[in-house]
Amino acid sequence: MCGGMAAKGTGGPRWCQNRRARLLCMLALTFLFFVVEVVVSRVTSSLAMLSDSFHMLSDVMALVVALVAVRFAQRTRATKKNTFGWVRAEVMGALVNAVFLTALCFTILLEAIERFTEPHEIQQPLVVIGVGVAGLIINLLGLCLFNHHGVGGHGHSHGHGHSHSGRHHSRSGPKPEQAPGDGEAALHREETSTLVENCSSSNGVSQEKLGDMKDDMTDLQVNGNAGHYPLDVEEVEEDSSAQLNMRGVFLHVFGDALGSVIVVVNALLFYGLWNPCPRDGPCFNPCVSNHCTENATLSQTLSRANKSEQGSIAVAGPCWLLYLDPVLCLIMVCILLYTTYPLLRESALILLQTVPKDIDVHSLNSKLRTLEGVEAVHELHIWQLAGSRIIGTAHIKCPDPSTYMMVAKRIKEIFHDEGIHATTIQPEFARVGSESGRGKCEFPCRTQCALKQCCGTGEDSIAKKTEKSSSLSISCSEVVIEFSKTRRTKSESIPSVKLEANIDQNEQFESSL
Amino acid sequence: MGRYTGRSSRLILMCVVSLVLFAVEISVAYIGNSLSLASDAFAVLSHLISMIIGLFGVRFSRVRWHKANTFGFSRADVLGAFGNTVFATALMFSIFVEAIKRFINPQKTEKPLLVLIVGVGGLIFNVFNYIIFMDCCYCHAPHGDTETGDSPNDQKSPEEGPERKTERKSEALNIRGVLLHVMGDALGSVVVVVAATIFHILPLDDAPCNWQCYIDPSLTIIMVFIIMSSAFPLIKETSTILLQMVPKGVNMQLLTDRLARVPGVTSLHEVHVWELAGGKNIATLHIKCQTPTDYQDAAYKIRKVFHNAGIHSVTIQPEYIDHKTSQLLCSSPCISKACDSQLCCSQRKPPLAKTNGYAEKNDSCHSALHKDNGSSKNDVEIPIESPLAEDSIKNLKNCVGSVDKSQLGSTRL
Repeated sequence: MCGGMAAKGTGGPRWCQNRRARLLCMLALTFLFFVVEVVVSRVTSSLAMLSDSFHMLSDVMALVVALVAVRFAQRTRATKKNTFGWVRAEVMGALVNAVFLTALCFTILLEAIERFTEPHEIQQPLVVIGVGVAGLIINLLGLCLFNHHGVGGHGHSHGHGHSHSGRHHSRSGPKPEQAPGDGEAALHREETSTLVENCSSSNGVSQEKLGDMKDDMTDLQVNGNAGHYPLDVEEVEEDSSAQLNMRGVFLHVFGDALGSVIVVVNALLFYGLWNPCPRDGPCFNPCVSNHCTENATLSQTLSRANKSEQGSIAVAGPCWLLYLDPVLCLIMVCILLYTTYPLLRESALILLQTVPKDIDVHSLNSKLRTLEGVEAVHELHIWQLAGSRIIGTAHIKCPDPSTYMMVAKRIKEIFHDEGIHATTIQPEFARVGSESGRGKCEFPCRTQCALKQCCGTGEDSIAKKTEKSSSLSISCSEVVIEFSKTRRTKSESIPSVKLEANIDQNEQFESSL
Repeated sequence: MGRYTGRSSRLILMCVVSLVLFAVEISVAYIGNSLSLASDAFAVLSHLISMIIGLFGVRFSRVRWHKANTFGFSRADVLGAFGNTVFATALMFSIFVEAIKRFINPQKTEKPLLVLIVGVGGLIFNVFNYIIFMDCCYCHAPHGDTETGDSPNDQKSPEEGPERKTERKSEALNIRGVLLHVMGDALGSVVVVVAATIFHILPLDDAPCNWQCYIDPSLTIIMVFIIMSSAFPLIKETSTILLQMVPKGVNMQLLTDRLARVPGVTSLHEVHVWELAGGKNIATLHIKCQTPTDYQDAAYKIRKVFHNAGIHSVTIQPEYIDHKTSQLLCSSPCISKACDSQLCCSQRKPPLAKTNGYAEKNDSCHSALHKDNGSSKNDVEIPIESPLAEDSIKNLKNCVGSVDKSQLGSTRL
């Protein structure tokens, strides 16, 4: 199926590899099926089918959310409203889908409990089987379409990602005019050309062209060095944020498939094993809990029947069949919750600005500190924007600008080795004679802004642990966990804060939290 | 106020009460074989879940630093609010579906008196809930809130008041998420009470369903719309923060204009502004300067510009002019171009640059960009008269490109 092909590389129809195309395809199918189910339920006046059709509708909504997220996330360029572009939209889409799925599990649970207290027979099991099988087929198709992204979301964080490449090849875009010769240089480590020239398509006015642009770039490079860069790496798996999004959709479809399986199994067993009450004649149904009045009528009927006829009373079929449905539903809910939880966790962790799992902030910190020329490191922040885009910022304290120049590249290399490629390093130069302020931030905002600064973080507490510095290193990034401690350190810090007033910026007060 | 009036204490209290109520209702529903009680019990359970989410948000956001998160978990509040809202939306969707089913297949309310009693009980519980949480949205804690460990500065400058209010913002977001559920529940109880009253007053014992049967679903649909209309703004607010969008009060155009006018700054790029949570704005940018002294002078003024815009955590990366590099191109992206797709913003994409009428030489297509005064203000070019040569910057090897290829085609981010 197309999932396998996409993984292997160049082969297969282009539409298959396109996320959006897959989503649209599944959306159309599901919506169509929803309409069919509603019609059938009206014709057969079966309430169960109606509720099943609404499950399909929730599937449609999940697909719509994923589609919207994919559309948004393709605009990776910065805009007035969002300086990072909209890449995070896919992570949000994944989270929304995961929460939605959890809520759905909750309502299924409710329905199952309802069925326990009031079991229903399935009317017209044949129709139900038919529709159930059709639904199952559609869901299996969907599973196949999205299987490629299925369980276990392995992102490749350090891949030399020309990630979004293969999919957009089908869209026509303006080809670059220059020769693709400089593509080679771009791929080698230290010889970097400053930019890939692409004069003609640089108008960049519309957002859609962007995708084309990017692919033309990669086309450029592929053409330039077919030898160096194997083709299938080009069409490699999508960015891990896209994978998250697709996983959300996959789980929805999976849940639906499980639901269809349950419906079909139930209906089959019912059809096979159930002894329905015959239409004529008295019938005793021991499985359905009767109200007292009904029982009275029933016993009257029974006694009359016993007296008058020696006929047999039909007894409706094995009762456990009626409880099969809710039990299976409960099992399905458990399976779904178990598989949704990792997705929920992953997307939540990205949105919370956590450090990505494979990066150890402490060791990074110590690597930076041990560089010669670096006196102190503070405000070190690492977070993941989406997928493999990890962003870091740090303030590096050096004795003077020339020292900084020497270590700047080394610092970037250290970050690069960890997989953090978008960094902003702020150099700070220690004032003469302010040995006590080694850990201090030279450029804090004013004191009143303390509360509005991003963090009262603990880098200095780490500094104290690792370096055992004896200075009263109280910086704008002081640890704030306990209220009382804060007060104490604040009063201590005031005297040591004064910076020399030879340059304008020193008029700022130290901020302390 | 006492130790027990903090937000998490209140949440815990309500969690316990909900749990007890849920247990009571479900057992009564089983004994009395009543379906509506069972569904009401599950409403209480969903309430409980929403409060647990809220509680996690509050508890987590107290943590200031953690090895897994250099920013602390202050965003947990926002995430909790978002999760709660989406959860509420999903529940509303299923309730909507149930109402539609009721329209198609109207049913009478059985045992209206019992349902009425339960409905009134639920309503009282929800009102109680609302009262307990409500002042959280509008209160100002007297001297710091022991919950979150925030400490107000002792110097109470006039900037303090509004600052603390904005901090309440993110905590309030979380509670608003919980309150959304409470409101949903309360309205649901109102609908139940109204429908049950009508059935009690005008009983419909064996007659077929008349207009009375349609009251329940229609009121339910109205309720769904009311709740969705209050959920939507909350979703918008939380998404703004979670998607790393520019915070509402900041005008990027104006900001970059002002930054560009700071003396000593030749050009800027990679300007990013985003909100962490609760009014804490963070910015990073790269500037190009001629000399290190230029940088140090400019740094202070840049911070001042940001401070006036309400952004207090700024990280500035200076880059020194290299003739070979375009003015607008980052001199020090990662160490190799191969990392481009992992940069937060690709270096290869054409920026929608505002160039102040400055055109680079041998750049014919550059003029095309002038017409584009659309969105991105990430690159601002400031014309310079005489580019100075810098020795120190030669050490930055990573900007050295192949000289023959430096036909600067067009601007890039």
